[in-house]
Amino acid sequence: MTESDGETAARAHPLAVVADHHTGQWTGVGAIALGLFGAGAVTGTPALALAAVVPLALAGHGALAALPPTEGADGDPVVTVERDLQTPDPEPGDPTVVTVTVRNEGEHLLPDVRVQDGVPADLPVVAGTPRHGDFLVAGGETTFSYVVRAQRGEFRWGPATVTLGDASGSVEREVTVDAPTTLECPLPPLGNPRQHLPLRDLTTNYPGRVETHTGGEGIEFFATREYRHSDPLSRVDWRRFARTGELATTEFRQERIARVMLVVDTRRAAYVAPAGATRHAVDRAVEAAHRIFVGLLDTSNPVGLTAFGPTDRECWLAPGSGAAHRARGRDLLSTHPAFDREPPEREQYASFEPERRAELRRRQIDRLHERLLPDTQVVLLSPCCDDYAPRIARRLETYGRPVTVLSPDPTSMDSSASGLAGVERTDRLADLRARGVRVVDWGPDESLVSALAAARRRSR
Amino acid sequence: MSERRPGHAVVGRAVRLAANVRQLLAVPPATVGITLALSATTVLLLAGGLDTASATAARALFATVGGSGLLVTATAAGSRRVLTAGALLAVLGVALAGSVGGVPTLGLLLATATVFLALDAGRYGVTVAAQLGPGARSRRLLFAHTAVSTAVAGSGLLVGYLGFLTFDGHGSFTAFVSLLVGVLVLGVSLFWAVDG
Repeated sequence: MTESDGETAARAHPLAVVADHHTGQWTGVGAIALGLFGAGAVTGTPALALAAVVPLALAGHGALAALPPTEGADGDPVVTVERDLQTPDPEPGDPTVVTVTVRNEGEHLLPDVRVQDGVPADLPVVAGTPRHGDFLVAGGETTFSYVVRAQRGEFRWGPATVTLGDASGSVEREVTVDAPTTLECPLPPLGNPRQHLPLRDLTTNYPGRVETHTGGEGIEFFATREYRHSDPLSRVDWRRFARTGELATTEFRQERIARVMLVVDTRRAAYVAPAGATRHAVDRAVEAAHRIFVGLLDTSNPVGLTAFGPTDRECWLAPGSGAAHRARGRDLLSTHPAFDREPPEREQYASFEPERRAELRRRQIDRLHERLLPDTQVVLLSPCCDDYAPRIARRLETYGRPVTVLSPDPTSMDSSASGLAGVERTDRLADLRARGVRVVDWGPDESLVSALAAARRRSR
Repeated sequence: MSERRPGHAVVGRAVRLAANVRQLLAVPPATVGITLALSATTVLLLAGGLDTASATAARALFATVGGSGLLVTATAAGSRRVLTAGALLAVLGVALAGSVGGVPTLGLLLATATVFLALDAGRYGVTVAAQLGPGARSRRLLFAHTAVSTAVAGSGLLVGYLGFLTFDGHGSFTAFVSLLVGVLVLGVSLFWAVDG
């Protein structure tokens, strides 16, 4: 099983010695033996003096212990580790069984083999343990399994730490055994998601499926207006002419293509979650972005995506369409560091003076605006738990770029602090709505489908 | 609807209790089992031969029981220091029992061996648990280690007992002790030479 054929298990041989330890397994036993012998000699009890032979033999066994070899006669490592994933590309949340096989490739017995597998820190072990101890005869192997819960992203296993001890337990050698293994957990493919976000009015001139507030050619009745000479006869409202004697032309609602840029707020401040929750707002936002991305592509709207966060994690996919674009978008959302499950170490521009920081933040918003075509509207996915996120929406609106804010709610009423944060967030969203920004508030226990359906009802 | 038998409830309670006890252990349960079995053997070997009417014999038995109890408790709690203290107390009990007399030589040798094997199992279990945690699968490793140590202790015991049988009644105790001193000096020299 190799990585090249999609399986993620691999055998690797590089082995590095980390440290040698004396365990103190028999410390003091020699002294006790001497004490026993002395007691026997003093009291004239041969049996007692004889009893000292037992601890002496054990202490001698420990003293004669030698460090186990790490390489065979041919220079190959004596221990190899093989890791096998039950599902190489699980979906987020799926439990995946990891089976580890440790082999003694040498020609001698390894009486004490202890393994700690190098599980990626972000992958929670939900059953079993990634640690195991056994002895291995020459050519023998031992196997153990544990279960990890897959998370969105790409995870690489570190080398397994193997401790090789001698039979007496006196000395041990700690080595690392490399076994490159990768778990790729992309976002699940969406066959027919129908996650249609109500878009704003800004559209391109190409016919599409986004309803506009403009009359013209189309299907759905929009309005009637006074007849003009160039109007086709098929659109004349003959009934009205019969009734009033005036010529009028029927107009239909125009449907156009909208160019959309999905902007996921990935600043450190956006990595917030209710107490005890397993998913933070960025994780939910990425899932929503994927569904909306696919939904917009399904309706033939060019869509792109970017992360609004640290500049060293920049990700930019210009609006586009097609199967390759769809796959690229899914891949970026699944594995690009910009959408990492772990927050950035520090907030962008945190070390600057407040005024300078505000200026740099304004520039970051301006850069986003300048990179977009004039007919591109923005969908900002942010929990809006600080004042900066609404500022992004307001500033883009000021430039005449329509913005829709999809806000996963990370607040709860569990504590007064969280409740207060929730109230502040509600105020921010209300302020955005008052300024004409369309806001979709996505509750913590609400499905995205439900939130979008509610938003569509409000937009009509 | 079938009624639950009282026996099932008792078994269920016992299983729950065992599960709770497992959670309290700092070492793999197998380690505690091995230490417990060895410590119990020590106590039984001495108790079978000692006449507890004698104050010294009673003290010997008391020290052995106390030391053995400490060995088991310290193993379960994962304390190497208390393990050593327990072993010292148990060895003191063995020494007292040997000086009082009454316990057969083979019994005394076996009791000594079980004390040190319990100490070995306890220390090893603590080392393994510190690295792998008490929940890791390590039973085969622990049993294999104890088997090797038992073989070594058994060899020492055999040599000692054969020596005793050879010299008992056929030579002077001074000559016997001199031989043992020689063996001990050789062993200790070897110990320091390799360890140093």
